[in-house]
Amino acid sequence: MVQLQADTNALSDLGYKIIAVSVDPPAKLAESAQKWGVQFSLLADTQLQLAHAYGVAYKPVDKGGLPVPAVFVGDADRVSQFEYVHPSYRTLLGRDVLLAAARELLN
Amino acid sequence: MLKIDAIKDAFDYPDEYLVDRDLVHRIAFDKACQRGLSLEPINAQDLVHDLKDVCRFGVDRLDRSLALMEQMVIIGLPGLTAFYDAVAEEHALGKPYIIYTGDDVDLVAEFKAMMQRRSSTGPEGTPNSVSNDVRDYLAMRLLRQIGDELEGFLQLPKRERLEGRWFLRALTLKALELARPDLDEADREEMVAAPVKLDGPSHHVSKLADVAGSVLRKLPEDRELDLLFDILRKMDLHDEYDGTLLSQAQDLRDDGELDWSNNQRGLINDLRRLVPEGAHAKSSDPAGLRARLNRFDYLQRHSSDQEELLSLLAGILIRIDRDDSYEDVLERIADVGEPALDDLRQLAKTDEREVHRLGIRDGALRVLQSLKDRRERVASTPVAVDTPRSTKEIGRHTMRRISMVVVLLVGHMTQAGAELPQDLPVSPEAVQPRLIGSKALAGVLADATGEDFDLGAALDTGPTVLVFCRAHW
Repeated sequence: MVQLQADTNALSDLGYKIIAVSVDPPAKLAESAQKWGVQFSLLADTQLQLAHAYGVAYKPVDKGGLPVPAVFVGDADRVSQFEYVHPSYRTLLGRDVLLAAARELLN
Repeated sequence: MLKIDAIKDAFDYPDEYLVDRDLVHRIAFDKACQRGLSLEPINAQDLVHDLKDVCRFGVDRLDRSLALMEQMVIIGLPGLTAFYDAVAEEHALGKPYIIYTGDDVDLVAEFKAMMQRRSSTGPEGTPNSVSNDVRDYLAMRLLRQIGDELEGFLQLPKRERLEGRWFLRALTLKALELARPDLDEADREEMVAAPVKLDGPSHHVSKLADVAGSVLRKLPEDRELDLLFDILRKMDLHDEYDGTLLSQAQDLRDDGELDWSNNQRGLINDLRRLVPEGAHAKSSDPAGLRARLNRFDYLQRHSSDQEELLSLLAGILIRIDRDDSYEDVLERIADVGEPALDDLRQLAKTDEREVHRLGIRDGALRVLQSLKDRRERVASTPVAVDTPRSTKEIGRHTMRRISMVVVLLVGHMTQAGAELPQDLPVSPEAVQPRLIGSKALAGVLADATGEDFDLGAALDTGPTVLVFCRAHW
């Protein structure tokens, strides 16, 4: 989250709109937005509808569901041109990789 | 990408600015300020990088260092490990920046104090203190770093090893200072001195490698992870105790269901550390102690029955009645709660004629009384903030915290009863993401204000970065 916030300006300068999705409810998102000074859209996917549609949701037996960490970079035609999906939330997409991909896709 | 490179790229500086990092920082931060941008540290690596700079250049060292270190403690595990990684590296290589104390500022001690302030445990030296764990972790981490440096050194070509033997000597001395505090300086110097009767530096190198290796081989495998877990567990006054720190502890234990209220492993680790070397020699019942200790060590390797482990530990600790720290130990036995009761009650019935075991009997009676007092305090207290530590309520886990954990879990994942899609995979490895080339999907979700957000409309405005997060932001 903090990393994404740090990249907001660079991505916005490139013309990207940033949308972050989590299972947190709106109230929690508002709290986070205030806490971190978030400047992009935060969406509440409390029932994992969107994460499921993107194929990145899972649900361990007897537990709630979660998305795996995932980033989809789409072009102006809505076509996904770059993706990062990892099963471990410990392994996040490197900032330089995201920025490099975002730049490359505009060329 | 290093931060310095990011700065250079962001401001399109020529390469020659890289010659002087401090100059680059100054200009870059000024420019960033003018443009309303921020290049403040945002992760542990940035923080430790800036901390090293502050310490190296020495300007306003204390205040600026403390501010950065506070941030490192706030972010929890990554901050702690990054700090101690840097400290260990400086220590092993003999480059004191963060660990420099020549100006009477001890940043390593300050860092430990920051963690102590976020813990309700007692000060260093008292049983269960978080500072004890921090101290032990630091010592372990320093030794591990020395081991890594030693390994690297021994892989050098022979000529370089011989030329660098004084570095090896310094490393070995540091290892001895940490691992063998029982030796005095003269003994340690003798252990690293060049062999008298043998000519040539290669014998000296061999001797040093042997000495260092003998110390470093004894490092237990998972000790650092256990200590890090305990440090997180004991920072119960940390603002993110039930959020970030819990999540990091789950990560360390690779147990997504772990919460502070049901984990007894930390308590078991704490109590096991109270058992001294050669404990049977400090007991009026050496046979009884040894039998329980053997059983405990076996079970710890082969069973996850935490109640039996706690019961055995209580039985072990109550029997070290000839140890100087017995008074403190008795207080900790009460933390075990119910699993300790059977053995304690049995010991309380010890016959007066068994004179040699009366010390243990008295100890058992005192612990039983302490447990009784705790129960009575709870019974007379309308708010459950001082719950006794029983089988299921260990350590400092109050009802308040248990309820906070519930809130946290809601924040981290969907509620178990939420109406989720029926065909979700059960493991993160089994997800099947949409492929590159697929059309992005539209839909309507609530945003942070609770208003509907039309994803389709947003996607139509231009290129998009869509990020799915695990949450609890």
